[in-house]
Amino acid sequence: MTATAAKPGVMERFLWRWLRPMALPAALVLIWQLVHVSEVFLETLFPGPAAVWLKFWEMTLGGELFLHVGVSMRRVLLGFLLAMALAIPLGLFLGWYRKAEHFCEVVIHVGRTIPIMAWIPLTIMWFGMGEVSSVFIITLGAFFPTFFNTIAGVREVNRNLIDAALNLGVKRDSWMLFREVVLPSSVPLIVTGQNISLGYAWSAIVAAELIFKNEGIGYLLMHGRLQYSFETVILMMVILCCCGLLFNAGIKILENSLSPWRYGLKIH
Amino acid sequence: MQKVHPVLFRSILPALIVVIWYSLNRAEVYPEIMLPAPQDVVIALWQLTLSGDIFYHILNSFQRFTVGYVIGVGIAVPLGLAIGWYRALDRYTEATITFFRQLPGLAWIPLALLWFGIGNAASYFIVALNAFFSPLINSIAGVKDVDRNLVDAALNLGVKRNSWFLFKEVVFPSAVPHILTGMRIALTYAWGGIVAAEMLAASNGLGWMIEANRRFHFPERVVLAMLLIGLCGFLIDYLLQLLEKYLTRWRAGMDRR
Repeated sequence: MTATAAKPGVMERFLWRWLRPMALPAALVLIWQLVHVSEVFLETLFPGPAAVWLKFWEMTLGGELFLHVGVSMRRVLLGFLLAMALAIPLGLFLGWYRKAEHFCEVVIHVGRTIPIMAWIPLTIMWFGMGEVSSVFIITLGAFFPTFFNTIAGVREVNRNLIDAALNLGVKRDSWMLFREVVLPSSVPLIVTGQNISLGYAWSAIVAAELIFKNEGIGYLLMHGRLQYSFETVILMMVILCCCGLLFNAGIKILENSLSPWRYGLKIH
Repeated sequence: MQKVHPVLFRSILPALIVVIWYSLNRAEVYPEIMLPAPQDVVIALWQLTLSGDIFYHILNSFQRFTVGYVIGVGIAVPLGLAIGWYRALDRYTEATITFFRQLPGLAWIPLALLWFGIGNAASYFIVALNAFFSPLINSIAGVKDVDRNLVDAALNLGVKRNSWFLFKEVVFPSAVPHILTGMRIALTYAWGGIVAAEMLAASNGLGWMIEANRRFHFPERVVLAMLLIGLCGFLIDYLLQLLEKYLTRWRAGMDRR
């Protein structure tokens, strides 16, 4: 896929900017092909780029690819939205009421230190190996970054803004102060948290699908391993990268539309 | 301050959870296989400590973790410094790094299993990859974000641009905080990676303990292993935090001035 851009361009000066980043991927694919051709490794253990491309073509034509990517995407979005629905209100609450945060502190930190993979056996015991488990794992994975950033967002509101509001007669601890000052100025940090959360959700889907035996990208990855189908494994890794890039582009757009004023604000 | 002692106040919720957990177990709302009794977890801890199994698994996990982490960070930091220092290198590699960064560390597991089989090599590989990207990106950023004033001051004092001296005396020290942050983030990823690797590609260690005990229907040991994994992760993070404080102690001095 990356090699196509390495063709010599006509408007070289314009293309230079686009060609240069492609040089390294093209070189990597070339080395890959050379190693493959020289047969240093067994054919089955080290398929060439062509085999992966063929696999991609075959899975696309069969529609299989869309099915699995679609399933994974749906799970990620569902888990992500669920995590956001929990993390943002909870974070706002704990950020606003310091006492509530102290109250939950121990549980939060214990929960945070346990890696997502470690939840999987317990999840299987509770929910089996189905859809609920996957969404549960993704929700867990996506929860903490947004949660912590929301708390930080509420805490780190610009002092001047609050003082200004207080001077203008807004009561401390009032709903008005929260709604008009604290909430808007915590949006940038919340969005940053969401950004990280989406990445975590994306890696949690891999964790979940590596273990749960149903469809999805992670399942194809693991399935490819069990069948010694290297093409599938590598293809899935490339697709994971591409989906990650897509998600990043998506959240950038969301970020800009959600908090257009933030570039004027100095939020540290 | 609150009237209740802060430590007491913070332990209300955990205590409450244990009480609810205990009563749910006593009332047999859920079968034992889904919800082991809290006292069973403590008993399991006691038994496994006496038999020494716990130390065996923890040490194995730590050994794999340390080797993989050192390899990952050891490659990432010099590479990142070089990429940050040579602009041309940065231009050529940026897109590729951004692309591969998107890949969750866990997605390397099937490939690692295929290439290395079940064993320590696969674990090292996975941990190293999990620990690779945050130090890499933070080293690049650390070099690029050096305070302009510091560089200009050095140049005014006669240090040559692009000289080793400038790198060693100005750029590297001011990149250290960034690098350490990257290393701390990597710690979390690497620790998650070792658990995943052991669940699928090892016959001992904490990750194995958690997955094997699920299969053997020892739910209390699963919970115990989860708590141990959390505790060890926390301890490692704490140690690195101490190191970070020690290595960047000059920063605190600057803030006070």
